[in-house]
Amino acid sequence: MTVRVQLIVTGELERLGLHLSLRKLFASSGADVEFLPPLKTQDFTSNRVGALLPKEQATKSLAAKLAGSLVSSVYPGRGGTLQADHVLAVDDLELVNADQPEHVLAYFRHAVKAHVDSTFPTAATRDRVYQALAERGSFHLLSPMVESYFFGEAAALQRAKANRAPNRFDTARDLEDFEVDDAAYLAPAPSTAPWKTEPRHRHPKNYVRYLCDPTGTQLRAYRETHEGLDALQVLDWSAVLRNEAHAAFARALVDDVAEALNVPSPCPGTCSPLTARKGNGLLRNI
Amino acid sequence: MGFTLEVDNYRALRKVRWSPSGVCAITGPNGAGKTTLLSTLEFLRHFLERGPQGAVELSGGTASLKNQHAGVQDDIRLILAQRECLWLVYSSLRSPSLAITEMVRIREDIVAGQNPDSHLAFVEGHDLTVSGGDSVFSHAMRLLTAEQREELKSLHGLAANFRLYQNLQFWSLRTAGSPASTDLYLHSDGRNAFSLLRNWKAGRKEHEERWLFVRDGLRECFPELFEDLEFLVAGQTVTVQLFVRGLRQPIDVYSAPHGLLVALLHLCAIASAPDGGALAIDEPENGLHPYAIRTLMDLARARAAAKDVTVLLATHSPVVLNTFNTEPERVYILEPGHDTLPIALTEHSNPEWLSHFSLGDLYSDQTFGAQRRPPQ
Repeated sequence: MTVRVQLIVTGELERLGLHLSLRKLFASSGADVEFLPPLKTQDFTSNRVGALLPKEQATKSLAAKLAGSLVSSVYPGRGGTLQADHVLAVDDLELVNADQPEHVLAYFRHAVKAHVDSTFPTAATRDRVYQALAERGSFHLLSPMVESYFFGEAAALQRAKANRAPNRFDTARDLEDFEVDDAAYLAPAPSTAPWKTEPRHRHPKNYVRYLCDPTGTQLRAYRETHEGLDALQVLDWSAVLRNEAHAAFARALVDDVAEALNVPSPCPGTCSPLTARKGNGLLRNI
Repeated sequence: MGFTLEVDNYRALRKVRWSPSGVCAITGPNGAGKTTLLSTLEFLRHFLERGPQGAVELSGGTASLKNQHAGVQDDIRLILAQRECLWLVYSSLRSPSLAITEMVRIREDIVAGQNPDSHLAFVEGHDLTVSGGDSVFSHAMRLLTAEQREELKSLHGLAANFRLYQNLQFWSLRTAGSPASTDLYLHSDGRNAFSLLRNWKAGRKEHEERWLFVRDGLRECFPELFEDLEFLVAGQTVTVQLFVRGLRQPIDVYSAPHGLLVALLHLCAIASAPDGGALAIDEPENGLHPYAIRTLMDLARARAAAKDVTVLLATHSPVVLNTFNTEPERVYILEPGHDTLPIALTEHSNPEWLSHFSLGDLYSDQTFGAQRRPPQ
């Protein structure tokens, strides 16, 4: 029986391309899977995630939008051919939250609870929703952002046209702990350069922008919906996750999908303990 | 680079102290003065071009020029400043006529000015007589030393090239095209858009990037619709036909989707601004799909950063406001109950608190810029 997987993402690049790259990854796994057209909501991690809000305010937060989309996709679901068997919400961790992934996850759990408790009036319904979430809902992080993973596949950077300057990223380094020591990139930037925002050395998207236009004179040499999509939609996740000790957040996502499809993970290795599948969480993995 | 604008007692504005830069949103209830705030800069441009008389005529005449809450002794005062240069326009409504004076300052030195209640003006070492159709600042840019003119160039250019885009003439563009011209900047009503685009494309090389910005921007805003456009010239009229994805033949502009024309004019407006300049668009969201709005905002930000342009957007759109979630300091509110306007959103509410929410939701829910405020 076909297993339908629904991604809920927060960026246009992920909406257009993440499910395609995962479909490619699982195409040879023997799983009968259909990736539904992804849903998109606003992200809640572009700003530094602050203290937990009181519940009545938490229901109106940005995180609650993503939480609400996840909950409604799991229970009752969109119905018919759009009814998902498994729903995975995915957001970037972003550099501004790189030091506090645990808090980001706690903040999201809080938003999910606030949304469920305010939306479903009876205890019996809430129990059913929580059970559905624990069995069929997940939340994953891309760290610090999806462009990090382009550096795990040389051809991905070619597809993104990020080849106008030598790529100095050390491939022995964990993609999710992105840092680059490239003197030309880190030199004082022209005021027009779209990649000049700091911390430049830790910013994979800015480094992609630089590799697309080292002179910093083009307005939009790297566009998520064009160059980014070309890189992501056929991204070779097996190559990206070839080091079994690295990219633990992305590996947890792949592992979660594999488990949902009842196939071995095509990218075995160490999953982030923060987002790896667990048996007793609010969601499948947190 | 940005600028500072101070306004006292001009039309709906009692007191304004404002220093915008980059792409900024101005929001607030209907009638709060958003468009008036932007029209202040348009008034200053008209003042440079046509003198006080022309500027007043183009802004509705003297009857509505002074704020209705201002006292009898309160005068109208407008200041535009950038870096260390300042231009002051000062007006007192004294029957039977309007007395307007000007002053231009570089740092602490007044380099040009007009004596109140007379037609006598001075520009360092020169005395001159000015009429209602003259601007002392314009004279100053002719008579000052080259060094002083260089210092004032940016401020003068800011005022002289500012455009407020509102009441765009879509119907005229559809039915009559644009009059052929040598224009390189979009008029405030957008009516010269097609001839402007043709001039950018076919004219000097330095303007070609403006044409490419518009064409490529349309492709980004409408990825499954717009492919290209070509120009048609008949006599003194320039119009376009559009190549649309999936159609073998181009369509004429009369049949063009409204949103496509809206985005075309907004992109022309943004591309028109010279380096270091400023422009304003009143309610840019009208007629556009949220995807096109977000893409347009991305394009505006990229160009503003690259060309040091200030883009001011008066808006009620939650979609536009959501694009400011990570920079609420660039959202300004006009709402009653404050002595000085506009209020930066980060002064209105704690930025840390704001970071939890979507700004579009907060505006929709009347948390700021409320159309109806709760009773005190």
